[in-house]
Amino acid sequence: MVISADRDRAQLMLAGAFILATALIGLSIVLSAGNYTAALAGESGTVAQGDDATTARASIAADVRSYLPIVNEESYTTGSSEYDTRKDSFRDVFDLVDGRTQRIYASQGRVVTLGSPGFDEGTRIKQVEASGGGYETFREPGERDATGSPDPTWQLTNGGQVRNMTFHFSQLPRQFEAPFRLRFQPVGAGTEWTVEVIGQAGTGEWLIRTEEVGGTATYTCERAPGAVGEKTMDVSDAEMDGTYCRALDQIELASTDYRVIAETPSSSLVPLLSAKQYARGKFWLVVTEGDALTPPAGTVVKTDSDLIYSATVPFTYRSEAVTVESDLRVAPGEIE
Amino acid sequence: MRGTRAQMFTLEGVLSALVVLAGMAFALQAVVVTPTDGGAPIGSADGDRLEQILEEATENGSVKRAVLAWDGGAFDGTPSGSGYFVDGLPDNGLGTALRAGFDSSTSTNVFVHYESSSGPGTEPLAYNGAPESDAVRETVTVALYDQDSVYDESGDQASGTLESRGSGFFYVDDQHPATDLHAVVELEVVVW
Repeated sequence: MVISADRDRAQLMLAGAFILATALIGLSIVLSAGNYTAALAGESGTVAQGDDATTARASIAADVRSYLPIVNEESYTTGSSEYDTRKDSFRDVFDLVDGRTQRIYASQGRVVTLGSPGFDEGTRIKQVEASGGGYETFREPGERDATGSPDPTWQLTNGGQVRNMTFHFSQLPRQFEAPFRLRFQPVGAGTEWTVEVIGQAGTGEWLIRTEEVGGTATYTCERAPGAVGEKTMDVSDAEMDGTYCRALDQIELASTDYRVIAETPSSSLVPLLSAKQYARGKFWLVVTEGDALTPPAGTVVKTDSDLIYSATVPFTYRSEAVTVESDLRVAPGEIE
Repeated sequence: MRGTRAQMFTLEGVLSALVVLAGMAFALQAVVVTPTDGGAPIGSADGDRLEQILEEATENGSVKRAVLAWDGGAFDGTPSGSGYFVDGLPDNGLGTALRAGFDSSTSTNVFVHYESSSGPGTEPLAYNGAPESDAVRETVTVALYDQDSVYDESGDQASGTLESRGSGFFYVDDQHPATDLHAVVELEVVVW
């Protein structure tokens, strides 16, 4: 009897061990499957849906950025410079882009739609074309014109937003006492700056100095002689000849409304300067409509109004997990 | 004496089961930690990377230049007769970004999908084999305008625009003749 009872007990314990092992294995599989499903679901949420919205938005922004100069330049060269013409062209094109984009994303289970675009109107200021081709060089304030009188001070803009402000110098002032000087006066709150440029285009030497008016902040960037050629100063992108310039980066054209003035050298210096001691070259910029001023009479600068300064396209992206709604505003730099 | 022995057997059985169980649980847990690895370098992180690469390439114009690098019969620089890049990617901004973004052991296919009057079409830009099951795929749309320049393989501007090159030059003809829009195409990139 004792032997039989022990055997029964041992068998029961063995069966219990099997049941316990099977239960734990089953539990382990269930937990693992749950984790696996969660891992796959998380992967789908971040890769296929969340970040895809940023790619879709970037592609639409690139489409707008590459079309705005076309629609501006097209009317500019044909002379049919009217806002309505440009806006209608833009709307026609982006209605079609919207329809095609919707179909492409719909086939992937997502909804991408573009709303009716809005526009900021603007004015471009640049040189007139010379009779022999190319562009006339600008005359720096202070340089005497054909009658022997110094030009008055330029005031390029009366505030507002400015993009693509670029000066292309074929000649830079050579004297520290009489640099080419721009003054950026904030219309509202902000810091007033002056930007001075000197150098010799023939040797490649140049210096840019930005000073805070009424303050102590001064920034400079310079390049030693070496490279020979004309110089391009892109104030909007804070670059001189394609190289980042910290001094120009203080001028926050994208976020601050400035009144931009090109200043005449001091009256005591003007009689002493020869034509070779003034800045020469060409410049262009686009300013929001109503903030551009007519350049001084007699200068070789013209204004071209009725440009689209920027376009704003309402953008919507919807997938199963993500909804993105934002206004996509694009104000591209234009090719000269 | 015999009862004690039976209990020892039982105890051994329980311990053995626990050892086997622990081994199986550990193995299953290891699989769950890396559900899509399988030894391949593509996973969710690489999907993110492909997104970032395409987003940057779209913003800096590399995608558009790659789509427009057409020589009249094939993508510029492709081996004669194939019409697309085989065993590699074009030597332009998009190709450089994809090469830099992924390990050299990965493969990449690039296709351009479009819709024409005769129906949907696809132009392969680079084909490096059939994707594996762990491939990552991403697409971007590109609007092409009549005034867009044509480019060469390296991304430099070639002569002419889609409009000036005339009908029949580009792989998709002007789908919207009444407007500046030439067509909207879809670039698809598959990496594995």
